[in-house]
Amino acid sequence: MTMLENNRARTGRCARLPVMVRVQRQRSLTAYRPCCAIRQGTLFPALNKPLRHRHCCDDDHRNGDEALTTGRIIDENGTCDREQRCCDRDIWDDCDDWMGRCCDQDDWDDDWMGRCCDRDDWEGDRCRCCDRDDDDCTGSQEGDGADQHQAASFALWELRLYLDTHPCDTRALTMLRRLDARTDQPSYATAFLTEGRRCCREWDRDDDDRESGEGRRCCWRWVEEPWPWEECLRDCCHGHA
Amino acid sequence: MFVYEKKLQYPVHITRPDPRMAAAIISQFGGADGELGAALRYLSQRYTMPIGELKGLLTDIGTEELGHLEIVGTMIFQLTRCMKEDQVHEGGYDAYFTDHTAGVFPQNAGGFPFSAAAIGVKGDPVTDLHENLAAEQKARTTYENLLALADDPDVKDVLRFLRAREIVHYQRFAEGLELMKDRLDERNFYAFNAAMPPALRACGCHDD
Repeated sequence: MTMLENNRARTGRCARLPVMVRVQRQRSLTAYRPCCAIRQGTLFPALNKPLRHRHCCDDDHRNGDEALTTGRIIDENGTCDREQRCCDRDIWDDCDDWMGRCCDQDDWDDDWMGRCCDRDDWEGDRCRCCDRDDDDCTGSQEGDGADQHQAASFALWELRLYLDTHPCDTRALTMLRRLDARTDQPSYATAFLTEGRRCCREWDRDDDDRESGEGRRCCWRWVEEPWPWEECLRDCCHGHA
Repeated sequence: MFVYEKKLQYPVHITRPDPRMAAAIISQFGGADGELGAALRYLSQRYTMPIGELKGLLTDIGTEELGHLEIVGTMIFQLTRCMKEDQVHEGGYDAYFTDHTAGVFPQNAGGFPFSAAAIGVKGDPVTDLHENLAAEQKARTTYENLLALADDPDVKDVLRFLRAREIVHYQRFAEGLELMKDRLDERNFYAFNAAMPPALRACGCHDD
């Protein structure tokens, strides 16, 4: 089948969930599963939502934001409870479990691949795109190899955009490592991803840029400064301000 | 520097020539709210962004817009490469054909060549991000207008993808704006331009 025929065959199988942006309350429809991403034009609706504006369990925005940066959700009793609904229905319209179970404590990193099917959206009882037993979606998808590659490389690109504004997001970095492994064709983007991952290798104890040991944070290094046009920054501006 | 990956971000397979549609889509190639303008805008704004995240974001989104420029150019190419003479006349494409044949020239649907007067680079990160939010919305609206005009499902497929990407870019810029506002120097209480050259800061609110 041609790529076009593949894309057509998937019409109607991609669940669409509304996403809201706080700035102007623009509602957008975004795709929900990796194999549908190339057709719908977006991936990771969860990540495309500004996380800081999810008011999990707390009407006080400030507490909610702090909770999100530490990765824990603090409810009004002051306890950390990740099982709380991460979509406060007072704030979001139609916030279905956008990841299936977005606050599944057992499977936080794997949700988008492990349970990518909100069963309210699927006709059958089986997730077509990402079969839970078949992490690579190869068993359940009718696409050919080139299609898979395009979907994976698009997913990588989308993840880059997210990591630009959230360089230290651990979930995103986990996805990055997984997607990088799935693209078997070397590409320029992948080369930079390797560089970005370097600080996260457990055995890289000599990485001076990040503190070693258990508390080390791994971040997306693409956003590190200086950028190429700033070579003279230190010489030009200091002493002349 | 820039490296080219030899593939389209989204496949384009248009089999039916339609110069009438090409004349409309060309606005997204060389128009004020089109991909060329977007790419130029973002790649120009990144120099005066004070934080690495925004430099990265503008570089990456600007690069993606160049990729979209390629997709739109491909659509115009495929819509006009096998056109017949009667199609040229009924599509109102004859004026364009005279000057450009089946070439792909950056102009808008009204025939005006691309101009940087349509883009804004203000040198203030907060201002520039607002400009970008507006630009993405304008592009989204343009794609919706094109979707209303299109009837070929192959064309609509690509337009839908491009429209979805504009919305995602809008959300990314919104994130960037929130990030910028959080990082404004706490001494800069009235949120003056964070990218103003230090010697020219008139408010005296910085000590360096």
